[in-house]
Amino acid sequence: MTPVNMQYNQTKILPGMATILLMFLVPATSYAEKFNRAKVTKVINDVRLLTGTKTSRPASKGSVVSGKMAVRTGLKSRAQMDFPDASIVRLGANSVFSFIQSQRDVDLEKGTILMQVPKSLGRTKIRTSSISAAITGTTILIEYVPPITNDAGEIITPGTFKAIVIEGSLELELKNLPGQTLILTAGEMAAFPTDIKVLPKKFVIDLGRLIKTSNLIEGDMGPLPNKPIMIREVQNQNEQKKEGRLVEVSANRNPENLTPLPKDDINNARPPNPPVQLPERPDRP
Amino acid sequence: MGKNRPPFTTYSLYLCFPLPFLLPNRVLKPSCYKKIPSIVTVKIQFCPFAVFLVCIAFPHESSAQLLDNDRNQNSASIWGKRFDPWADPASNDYAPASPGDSDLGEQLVLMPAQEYLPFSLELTETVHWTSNAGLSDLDVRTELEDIYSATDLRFSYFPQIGDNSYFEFSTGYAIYRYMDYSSLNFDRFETSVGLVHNFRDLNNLIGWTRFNYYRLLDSSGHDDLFTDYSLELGLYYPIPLSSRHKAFGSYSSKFSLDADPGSLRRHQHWISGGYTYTPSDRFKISAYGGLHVYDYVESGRTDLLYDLGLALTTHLTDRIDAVISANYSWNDSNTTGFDYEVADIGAKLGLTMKF
Repeated sequence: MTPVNMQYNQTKILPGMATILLMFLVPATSYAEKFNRAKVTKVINDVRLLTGTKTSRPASKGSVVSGKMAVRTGLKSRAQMDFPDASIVRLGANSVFSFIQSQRDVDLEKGTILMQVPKSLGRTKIRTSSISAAITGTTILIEYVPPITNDAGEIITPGTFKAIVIEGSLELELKNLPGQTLILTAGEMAAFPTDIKVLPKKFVIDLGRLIKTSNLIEGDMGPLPNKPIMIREVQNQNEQKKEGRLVEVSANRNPENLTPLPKDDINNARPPNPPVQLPERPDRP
Repeated sequence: MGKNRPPFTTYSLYLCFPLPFLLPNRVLKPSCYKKIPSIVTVKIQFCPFAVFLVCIAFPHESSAQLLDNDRNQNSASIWGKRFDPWADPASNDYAPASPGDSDLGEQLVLMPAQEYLPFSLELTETVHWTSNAGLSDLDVRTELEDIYSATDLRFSYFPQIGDNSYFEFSTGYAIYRYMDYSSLNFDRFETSVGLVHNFRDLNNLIGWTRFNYYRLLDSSGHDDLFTDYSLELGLYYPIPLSSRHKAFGSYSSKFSLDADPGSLRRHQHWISGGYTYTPSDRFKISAYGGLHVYDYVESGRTDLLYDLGLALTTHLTDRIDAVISANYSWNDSNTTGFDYEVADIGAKLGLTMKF
């Protein structure tokens, strides 16, 4: 038998829980709605909107991409799309991009993509045929090269995948490694063939160098809205480089650039010289 | 026997070897660009043996192959089926190349700098076969073939005291034991204090000066066989040829300040060269050649000791190394009865702890 005071509590709690649930559901739905249409704001060279399986038309500044439409870029071409929620997508050359209906997800069939999602928005996923990358408030770069197959559909050369986080974080999920995720943070990168059998390792790259040389970040695409945050991450990395905590690979190889000098080199200079050492021994008996 | 046995400190003299390749551009400064002589011939007494060592020591790669290997680290071919991107993802300067790199930007790999730890404690155990345990004279031909072990414990402190300068303190005790000729057993204690400077403007030349105390004891560890105080000056010139190939040259002189017994007091001069090939992070192949000059102060005796060596080192773990080595030496003295030759083959297991 349920006590009276417990019944009272249930009548109070249930409407409260429903209200809280609605508070979560309503923004999520509106975020998704704001994410299934975008306006093309920059077009460089050959950018086309795919409106059906066989129909396409050139994209121009102001074109709206929505629903089942896809965007395809040609050789040396790039495009930028702005979303109502202030998210930005930039496509590199030879890329195909589309929305996934009713979700806050996008599909990268192939090519390169820069995605910038403001903080406090919902979780966004960039999907490819074998990997998905989940982001929340971040700027990332992804490249996906699909596998090459023969006429029988057998994979001749595996596909490749690259993910770089410029600021924020990213969570990678591989379809052939269910339940395992790789989290990348600012300055980190993962690059691997899509048929990889173990979770890939991540490594750090020079953000300043990347930003300076990236066609999707600098150059004719113009600055990104959160450039100050990106600059802050570059400065953080530069501090680590200045303090000698982060170095280029060649610096670690070359003792000339090591600070301090490895003791092993000094040891090499010592007689007796390991590892080949004629043992010391007294002269003849 | 005992006090009649002079110390036999070994210093390696290293000969030159062929280094047939151009230096890759990412490893060396432009000023270092140069062509290494394709071959250096050294006239030695036992050419077949030296040729054997050299043949084994050097990787059979042409200069073009070496350059291609380096370039391939960053080429699109790395994405092929043989690509193992996570074996050592930070071993390349750049992330693997891909079609979208111009849009993504340059992906220069950074990695944490190697942490420097000034203290080290090393324990090594060596077992060697020697062809001439007693270093018998060539004319006498009474070589004593034997197997000996050496257990060596060494402590070092090597702090940085300036931008490119280091203080050095090292002390160690070693126990040498022979399987058959136990009368040759001895212990060794040595301590050195010095300064090391790295001349970065001179292609990373390293110079040092040390004060050494050296003591040989009998197997009981109580009675001195020989003691020596010396001042040492030396230079070491590393020559990084690529990420996997390295050569070096070295010179040092050790001036004896005092010795007991005085008849064995000697100055030592040592010139050497070496070459190291590192096919992977775990393996290293080294070849050495050197010439030692022992100048005995009182007797006027001068010995020239030639030394050739070859070693294969494997890093079993971060702290444990295993070494298989072969060494051949011959001594040419201006005093009758001191010419000898000796070959050593053996293995060493070393534990190093840095902190």
